[in-house]
Amino acid sequence: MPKKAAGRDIPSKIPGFKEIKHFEGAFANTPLVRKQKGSRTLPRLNKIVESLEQAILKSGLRDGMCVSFHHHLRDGDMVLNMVMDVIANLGIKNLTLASSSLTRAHNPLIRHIKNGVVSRLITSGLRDKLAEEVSHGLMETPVLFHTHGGRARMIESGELKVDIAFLGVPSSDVYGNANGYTGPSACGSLGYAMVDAEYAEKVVLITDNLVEYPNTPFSIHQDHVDYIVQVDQIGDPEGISSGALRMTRNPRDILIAEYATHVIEHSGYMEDGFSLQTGSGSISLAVSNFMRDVMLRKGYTASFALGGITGSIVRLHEEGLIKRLLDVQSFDQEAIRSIGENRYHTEIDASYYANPHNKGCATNKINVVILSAMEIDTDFNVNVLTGSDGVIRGASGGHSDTAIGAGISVIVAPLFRGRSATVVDRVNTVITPGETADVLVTDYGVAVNPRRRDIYDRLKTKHLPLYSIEELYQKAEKVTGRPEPVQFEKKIVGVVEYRDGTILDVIHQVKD
Amino acid sequence: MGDYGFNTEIIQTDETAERKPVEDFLHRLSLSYDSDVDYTVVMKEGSRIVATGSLAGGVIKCVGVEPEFQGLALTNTIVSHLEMEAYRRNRERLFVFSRPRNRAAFEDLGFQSVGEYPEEIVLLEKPGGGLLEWAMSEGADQERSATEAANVALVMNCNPFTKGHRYLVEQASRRAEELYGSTVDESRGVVHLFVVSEDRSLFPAAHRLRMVREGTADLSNVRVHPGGPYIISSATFPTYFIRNPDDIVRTHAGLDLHIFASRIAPLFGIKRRMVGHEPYCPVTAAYNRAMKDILPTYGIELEEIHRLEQGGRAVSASTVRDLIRQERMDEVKKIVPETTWRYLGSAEARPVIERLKKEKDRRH
Amino acid sequence: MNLIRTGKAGTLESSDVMITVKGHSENRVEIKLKSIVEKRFGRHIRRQIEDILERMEVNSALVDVDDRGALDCVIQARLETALYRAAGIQSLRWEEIQ
Repeated sequence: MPKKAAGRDIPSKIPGFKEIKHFEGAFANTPLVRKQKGSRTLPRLNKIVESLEQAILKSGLRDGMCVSFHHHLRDGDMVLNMVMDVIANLGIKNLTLASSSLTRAHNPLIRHIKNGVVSRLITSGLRDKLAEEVSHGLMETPVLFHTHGGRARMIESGELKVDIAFLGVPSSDVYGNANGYTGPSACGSLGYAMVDAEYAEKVVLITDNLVEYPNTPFSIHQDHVDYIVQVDQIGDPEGISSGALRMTRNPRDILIAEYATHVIEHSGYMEDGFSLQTGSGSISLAVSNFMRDVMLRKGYTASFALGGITGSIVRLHEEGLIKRLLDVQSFDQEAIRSIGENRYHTEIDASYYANPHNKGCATNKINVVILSAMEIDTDFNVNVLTGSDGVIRGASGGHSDTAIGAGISVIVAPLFRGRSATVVDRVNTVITPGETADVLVTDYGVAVNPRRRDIYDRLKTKHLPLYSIEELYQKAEKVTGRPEPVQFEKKIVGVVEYRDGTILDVIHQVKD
Repeated sequence: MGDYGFNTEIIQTDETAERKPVEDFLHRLSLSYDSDVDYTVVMKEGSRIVATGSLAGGVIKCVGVEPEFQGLALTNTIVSHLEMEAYRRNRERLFVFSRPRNRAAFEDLGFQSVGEYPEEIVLLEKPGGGLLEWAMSEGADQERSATEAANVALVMNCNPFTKGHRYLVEQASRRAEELYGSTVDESRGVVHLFVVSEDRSLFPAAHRLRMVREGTADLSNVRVHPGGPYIISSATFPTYFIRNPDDIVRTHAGLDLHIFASRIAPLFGIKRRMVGHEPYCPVTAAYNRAMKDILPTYGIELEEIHRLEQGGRAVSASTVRDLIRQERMDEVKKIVPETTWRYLGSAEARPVIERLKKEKDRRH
Repeated sequence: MNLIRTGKAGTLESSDVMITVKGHSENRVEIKLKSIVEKRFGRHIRRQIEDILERMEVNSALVDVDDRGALDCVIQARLETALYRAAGIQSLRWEEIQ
C-alpha cells in the first residue's frame, strides 16, 4: 500500500471506482492556483497576455484549425479583422472561420481568403463586398449558412469543433468574467458568444475595458476563459448599434403594419399573456407600435418578448405591457441600456434561444412572430439570404427557428420593391420552408398559407383584403413585368443548412 | 422613398439669417460652409435641418446628413436636387469632393474618381471620363505616353503673360530638348504648358490663353493647353473638410498634385515639372513645397528655376498690374513680351484695364 | 424630334430613374444603361427606351440611364420629359404621349 503525499494509506482499488488517481500534493494537479500562500500581490492570478500574437501562439493555433467569432459588434466590429491580421502575419493557413454572422465590417476577409489564410466560412449571413465576392466564386469550399439555433446545435453536439474562440467583449475582469452592457463598446446581450465560450477548446477574450474583479453580472464565465487580451478599441460605437430607430412615415410600410396588426389581433394567438418576437425592420417596428394600441384597448399584457430586442420592445416592457424580455441580441442603444438596468430583461444564449435539439428552446414558446422576406414564393418558401439578382446579401438568422416555433408566423413585406417583386413563383434560395410560414401580409393584400385553414377561417370575416398567394404573385408581376431568370454557373458557393442540420438548399455562383 | 415627411427648402445664400443655421448644422458635423457656395438646399423635419448640400459653380460641396437620419438615402435626394439645379444652370459636368471613405457612396450616384489624395480627400466627377476626354482633346497620346514619352510640364496662370513667364518657358523648352531629344518625335522633348482656366483672375481665361499661345508661338517644342477643370481649378482646390487654414493650402495643393502626377502626367508623358521660384506669394510657395514632397513619389522630377529679375526684382504679373494701375505704361512695355504689349493696346483689353484701375489688386 | 441640347429628368432616389439625353455625335441611337435590376430587366428597359425613341422619332440620341428600380410608367415619364427638354419643347404634344 503506497504512501501518498498527505501521509494517508489509500488502496489502489476501491469497489465502485474505476481508477484511483492519488493525491500528489496540493499544487500538483491544480496548476492555476497561486503557490505562495499569503502572497499580498494582487491580483492573485490573471489571464492577461500582452498581445494578440501571444494569445494566438499560446492557444496553439495551427494550420487547418477552426476559429470562431461572434457578431454582436455588428457593423462596428474591429475584433475579427484585428485577430485575422495577426493570424495572417504569423503565416497560419487553411483555417475554418465560424462566426455567428459576418457583416459589412468584415470585407477585409476577402484578402485573407485569397491568401489562403481562411479556406472555409461557416456563418449565418454575408453582406456587402464579401458577399458579392463569394457569390462570384471567391471560395473553393462553399460557405455553410446556418440558423442561429442551428449554430448552437452544431457546436453543442460537437458537429462543429471550435478550436479557438476569439470573443470581443465590452467588459472583462482579469479572470475572464465578461459582459456586453458596460464599457465604451457596449453591445448588450452576448447570447451568440456564450455558446462559443462554453464549448470551444480554447477561449481568448479581447476587451477594451478591463474592470475590477469580479465583473458581475457576467455573461461569459471565468471558468471557460483561457486568455485575455486588452486592446485600445474593440468596436466603433456608430456601427455597433443604431440610435433610437425612428418610426417609419412611409405610408406603404404603415399600411402593411396595420394589416399585420389586424391579422395578429384576430388570429387567435393574441390574448392576455401571449408572447411575441418582432424584428428590427421598419414594418416590424410599426407593428409593435400598433400592437401596443391593441393591448391597451383590450387590457392585455404579454408574458414575454423574445429574440433580437429593440427599443420599441423595451418601451412596452417599461410600460408594463410586456412582462419579461429574453434577449439573445440587443439591436439598439435602448435595448443595450435596458439589459443592463431592467431586472426582467434577461440575457439568453443562442442554444436557449433556438437550438432545436436541446431539451427545449424559447422559440418553441412563442405565440406570434413577425418576420421579413426578400422573396416569398407561391409555396410560401421564404428567402432572406439572396437578392432578386441571386447575389448573397443577407442572413438566415433566426428566421426559420422562429417560423417553426411560433404559433403564427407573419411575414411582412411590400409586394414589390422598386421593380423587384417580393412574391415570386420560385424563390432564389429557401431559408424558411413554406410549411412553417403561416401568413403573408403585403401592401396589396394578405395571403394565408392553405395549411393554416384555422387562421383563414378566423380572418375571413375581419375585413382584410384576403387573396391567395398566387393572386398576389400575379398582381406583383402585372406591375413589375416578368423578369428574366437569373443566370447561374454550375459552381456551388453556398450551402444552406436547416436548423436541424439537414441541407435545405444550395446557392450557385452568379453569372455576369 | 427616403423623404417622407421632410420639407425641401432652398436657402438664400446671401442672407446671413438663412446661412447661419446651415453653417451651425455643418459645423456640428465637423464640416464647413464655404463662402463660395452659390446655391444651398436643406431638408427639414419641422424646423430642424436634417440634411443639406450646396453648389459652388459646378462643384457639389458641403453635403451633410444628421447621423440619426443616415440610412434613409437622403444624400440621394440632396444630390439629385443639386444635379437638376446644375442642369438648369447649363452645367453639364459636376464635381464633388468627398472623404475617401464616402467615395463608394458617390460612385453609386454615378460619379467617377478624378484623383485622390490618399487618406485625405478624393475628387469625383460626373459624367465620368472627363479628364481623359480633356487630355485626348489636347492631343495626349495615351499609348505612347505610357512607354516611351519624356516631356516637361509647366503650369501657369499668366495674369498677364510677362517676360518672366517667357523666360521660364524658354528654359523649359531648352531643358526638354537637352534631356529628352529633338521635337521630331511628338512624344519626346516637348513642353506641355498648361494655362489655368479658372475665370477668377483679372484677365479672362481666354485672353490669358491667347497671350501665352502668341507669346510662345516661336518655340517649336511648346504645346499650350487650357488646364480645364483638372489643373489648379475650383474643382481641384477644395476648402471643404478642413478646419485649420494651414491645412487647407496643404490639402488643396496635395489633391491637385496627386491628380496631376497620377492621371495627367502619364497621359502626356511628363517626366519633369518646372516651376519658377516664388519669393512673394505664400500660397504659391506652399504649393511649390508640396510639389517637392509629392511629385518625386511618382517618379516626376521637379526643377525650380530662379525667376528673371529686372532692377533687382523678379518680373512678375502682379508688378505688371501695379504698373498698369499707376499708368506707367513705358515701364510695362519693358517687362512684357511684344505679343502681350500688343494685346494690352487692343480694344479687347480696354475693359479689363479699366476694371484693373478701379479695383485693388488681387493676388493671382 | 431633334435634340438640340442636353435634356435631363428624374432623380437618383429608390424606385426612380435619372435620364440624360443629347444628340449623338454619330447621328445614331446609343443607350447607356446602369440599373440595379439590370440582370433581370435590362433587356426589357432597353427595348422600352428604343420603342419610345422610335415613337417620338428621335434618330440621334445618346441616352444615359441611371435606374434605381423604376417601373415602366416612371421610365416612360422621365424619358419623355428629358426628350422634351433636350428638344427645347415647352408644351406637351399630347398626341405623342401614350
